[in-house]
Amino acid sequence: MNSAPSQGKPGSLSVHRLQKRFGDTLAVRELSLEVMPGSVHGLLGPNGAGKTTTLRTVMGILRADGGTILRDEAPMDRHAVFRTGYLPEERGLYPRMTVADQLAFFAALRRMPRHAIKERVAYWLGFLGLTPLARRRTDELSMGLQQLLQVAVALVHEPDLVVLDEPFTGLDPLHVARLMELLADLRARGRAVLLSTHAMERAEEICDHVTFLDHGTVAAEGSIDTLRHSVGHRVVKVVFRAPVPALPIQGMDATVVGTTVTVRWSSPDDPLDFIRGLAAAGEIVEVELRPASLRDIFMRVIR
Amino acid sequence: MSPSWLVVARREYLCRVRSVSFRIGTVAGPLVLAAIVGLPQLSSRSASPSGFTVMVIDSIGIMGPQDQSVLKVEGMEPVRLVYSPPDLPYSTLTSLVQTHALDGAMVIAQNGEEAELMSASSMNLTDEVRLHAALRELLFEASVRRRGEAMGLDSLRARSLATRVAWRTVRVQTANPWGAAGLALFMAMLLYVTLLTYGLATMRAVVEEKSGRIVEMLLSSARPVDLLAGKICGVASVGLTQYVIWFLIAALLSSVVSLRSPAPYPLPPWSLGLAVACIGYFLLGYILFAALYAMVAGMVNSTADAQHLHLPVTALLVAPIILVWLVIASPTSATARVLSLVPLFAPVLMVARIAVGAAAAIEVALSIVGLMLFIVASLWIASRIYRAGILMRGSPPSPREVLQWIRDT
Repeated sequence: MNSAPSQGKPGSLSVHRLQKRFGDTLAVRELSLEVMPGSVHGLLGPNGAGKTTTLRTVMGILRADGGTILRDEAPMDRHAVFRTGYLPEERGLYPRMTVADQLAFFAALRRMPRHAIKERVAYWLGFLGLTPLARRRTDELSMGLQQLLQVAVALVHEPDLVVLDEPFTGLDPLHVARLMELLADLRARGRAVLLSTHAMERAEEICDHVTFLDHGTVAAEGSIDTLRHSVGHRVVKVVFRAPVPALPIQGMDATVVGTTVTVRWSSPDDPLDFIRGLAAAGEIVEVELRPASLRDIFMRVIR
Repeated sequence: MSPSWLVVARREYLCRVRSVSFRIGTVAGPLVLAAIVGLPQLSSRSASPSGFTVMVIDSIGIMGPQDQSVLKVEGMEPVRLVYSPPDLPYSTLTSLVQTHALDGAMVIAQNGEEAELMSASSMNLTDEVRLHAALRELLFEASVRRRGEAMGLDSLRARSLATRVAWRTVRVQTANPWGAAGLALFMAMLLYVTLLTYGLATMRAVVEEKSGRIVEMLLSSARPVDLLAGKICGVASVGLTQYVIWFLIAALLSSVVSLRSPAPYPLPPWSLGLAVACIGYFLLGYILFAALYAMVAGMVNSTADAQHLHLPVTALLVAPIILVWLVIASPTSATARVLSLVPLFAPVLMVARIAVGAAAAIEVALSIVGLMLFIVASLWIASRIYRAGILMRGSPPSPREVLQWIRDT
């Protein structure tokens, strides 16, 4: 694959005030987000927050009840959808089809020129290490390999915009690393990636920008650094030798589990004074002061 | 770059044609059907009573019930002679022989100097020659006796004046298991089985894509109408391939068998026109029923749900195969004509009527127009239900919801 600059490439996605309703339930409310070429945008939120509904609506599988979806500054029509790589949350491939045929079928379905199909299939088989298994039936692969194959199927036609719904689900650490490598490569090649995930560590590692969704509404959005500053940029973790009945944490964003107290520190004050105050309440055996992780921000934002 | 529907159709076609079940179905299908249609007729033929029955038609009174009723011929089973009224139509007589009600008939001409022996083609050639000789002798005796009596001569003097009767033998082709009716039944069964098989295959393919969760991936790559059209075209091509293989084998076998004279076994009286009609009605019927089965598939999420919901559609296919007996028994009746014009019944019943040579060109044309109109309407509704129901989860929709899908999609 050739690396390419991210600017000036097609693939941008702009969602403005998107609404989706199921009967009386408003599943997505006034959602706006931007995905630029050469970037990875994470859509995060608890189960039922509206992530999959948003992605399905972007892909035209569900019809939006309001708002606009622009691809390269033009309405996202059917042809634009077919030029997008999509990994649905509900995975599925033809089980009796061979690995190579599966890739070739979806490449042809998305109108890839016949001469290019062979080359792209060979590339993806090589990338996934599946060349020796090319003539094997899909249902003979391990679940992890089937999932990677599904990712390859979503990308086989070289889309400039990629929409991935929960891409890390069901993958072992080796396959996760492979997928992370692939996402980094897509970004390097100027592709725009929109993904939803519960894997906060992975999202923190790969996403340039995140949108937190809660009950169909944007709870917070921005780059991870921006969110750290706006939501709570440090975490104080203190472990006591024994449970302390009365801790001076009233009014703070803190959780207590056994002898461990975790505080998401958003105050401009120095947290060392706070730690000293805790030491007066009981014997401290461990102290950790670190920047807030995406998980911490998630816990803070999603209530 | 091929259009999406063609890519889907190609996948459906290749997956199915390469399968073992296609090979088994192509070989075993017609054999089983031939056995179902042919065996009862073969067994009824062998169950005919022993001995021969020959009808005598004599309009000038040379022979009559006063003559012997059982003719004993050396080396043959007894021949029972039945005397018929002289006004029995010749066509009726022929059909009695065709249907094995009689083994033969002797028709004495008005001038008393000619007679005709009609015999069933299924009769052993030796028996036929013996019967011919015996009847000839019997008629000669009777003729001499009657003429002598009329002239007041004794039988010896009369015999000396008698002249031999000129004989002509006619061999009538009898009904065989592959007669027109048998062929019509075979064709009707073939269409019924293939329409049912491929219709259900289409339904299962859609349900499997839904339950196998492939459908969302497909929807991000092609329009629902292209997916449905591709699926229907792909499966139709598989059926077409199977029919072409069957008819090519039939043509090859017919030409090989007909080279041997006499043919070692009866051949079906099929024609190229009938084969073309059969393929044409299969394609039209398949598209119609595939659309109906796709509607069912659009409304369900699992094969188990589909098992219940497809019954009304399947009943529409079973109905003509029940009614085909009526149509074959009386193919030119008003009932047969009307039934074979009903679009849902036409693929089975019109082909049956064509096989017995009872379908007029205008009736065939009308049934095709009706089928096409019905197909357009069914595809229109099916594509809407398919589009709305393809991502549906949970229990099947109510009829009201389905109507809403059709209206709103």
